[in-house]
Amino acid sequence: MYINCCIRLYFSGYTIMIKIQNLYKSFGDRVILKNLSFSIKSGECVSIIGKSGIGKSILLKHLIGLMQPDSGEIYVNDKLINDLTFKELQKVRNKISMVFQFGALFDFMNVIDNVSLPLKKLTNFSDKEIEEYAKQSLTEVGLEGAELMMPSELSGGMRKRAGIARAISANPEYILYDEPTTGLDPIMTHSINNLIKKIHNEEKLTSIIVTHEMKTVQNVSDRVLFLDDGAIKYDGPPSGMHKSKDKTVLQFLEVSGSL
Amino acid sequence: MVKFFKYPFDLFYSSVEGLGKFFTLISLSIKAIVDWRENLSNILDQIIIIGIKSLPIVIFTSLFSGMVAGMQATYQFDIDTGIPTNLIGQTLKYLGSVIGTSVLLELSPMVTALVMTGKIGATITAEIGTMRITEQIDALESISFNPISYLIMPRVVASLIMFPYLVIVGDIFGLIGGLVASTSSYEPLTASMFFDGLKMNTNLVNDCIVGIIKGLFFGFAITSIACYKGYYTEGGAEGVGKATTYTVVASCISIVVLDYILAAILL
Repeated sequence: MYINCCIRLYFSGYTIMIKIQNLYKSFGDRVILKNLSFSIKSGECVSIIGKSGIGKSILLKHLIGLMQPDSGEIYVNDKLINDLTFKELQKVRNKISMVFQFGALFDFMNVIDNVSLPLKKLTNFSDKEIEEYAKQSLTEVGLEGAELMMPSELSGGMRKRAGIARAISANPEYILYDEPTTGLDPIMTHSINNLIKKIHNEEKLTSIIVTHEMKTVQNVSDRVLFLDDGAIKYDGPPSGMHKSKDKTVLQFLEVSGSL
Repeated sequence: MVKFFKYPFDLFYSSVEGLGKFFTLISLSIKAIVDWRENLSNILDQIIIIGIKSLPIVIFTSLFSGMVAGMQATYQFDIDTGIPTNLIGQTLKYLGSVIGTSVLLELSPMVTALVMTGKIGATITAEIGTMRITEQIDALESISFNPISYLIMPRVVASLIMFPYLVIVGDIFGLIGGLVASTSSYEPLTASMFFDGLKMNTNLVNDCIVGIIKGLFFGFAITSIACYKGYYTEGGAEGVGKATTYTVVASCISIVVLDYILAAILL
């Protein structure tokens, strides 16, 4: 898997990236994203933070084409994804995996089938190879032995791990995490943070994490985007956040005990 | 006050928008039939759920509705109909024809559709709605699956295949129920008289075909409404509950309306 990643990065010449320009999104009268622009380089681990309901998950869904902006442009690997047909979008999605807030495991399938599904769809591997890769992904997230369990039998932490295993199984270039530690106890949060860090370093992925947990930001990411009122209020390393002059950023740090 | 006057316009706008979404989703699911090979296992799963697993309830309800039809027909015959006593023997055989027509043309397709609305329509909406609110549909899309090909099309195709078959099963058990109830509740009527009556009805095959066509339309209406409400579910567990209720109500109304329209066209 590691060799695959190196080959992929070598041929991509480290130019792969996500670019967002002048993004607007509203629901009815409520404007969520206002003229948002930023870019993410390959290999970066970026956290998007902000208050609940501010539009972080909505922004993440725009990156994978699950939502369409009212206006603005979204580029993935220099390809504008706004107006792609479903089949064109499928090609872009093959490079991006998303870990959903509560795992979003298919509850009519067991764990191994959930993890195998992207491999069945996106690769031409034999059934034996698919099973092997799926088991490898489950081992990577510490879920060996849970292959035949149904999602309803898993704890919150196990569901998130299974969701991460499904996301990494098809060897993506980008991985998007939507609140990966929400609702977990501190030990499990620490464990998931370590897992994200490990996957990011070992697989050489570009990781984008939506969270409101400062511990995840400080432990995992090398860049933070602070979203508030539909715009970016801070863009820089986690260590520089306390130097920000924005009141909301400082208030966020203070309340989360990071100031 | 402004809200009060705005309400009818909002209602009209949301109804038109809803209809637009409904027909778009259905046309996309019909277009997705070209992907049937990729989704064959899903279609077969749905055929088992919609067709095979619904057999017991369809048999049970058809049997009893046929029995009610048989009993009611003999009751109407038994009360003072004004038919001279010497002619009752000859007219008795018409009972088989009357019961047969009622079962094949109306009771079997209608009862099957109403039962399937509760069993399949509600299940489909709850399943797809839960997948929507727990982001499973987004997850499917994110791994390059077309959710319409994967979730909607197999259910619509399976219902188009299995509803006519369920109506035929309903016909058979409805007629058995009618035969049993009419011969046991009205002594002068015998089984051979009942079958003679059925054979006398030259429109029997035609009635059966009309019933099957009705079943096809009812099945399509139930599944498409259920898939649409499930696919566009919003608002958590409460939203799933509302969507399921809407599916049952809208399906029942559409069955009755379609029944009238099809009767007007086909009879």
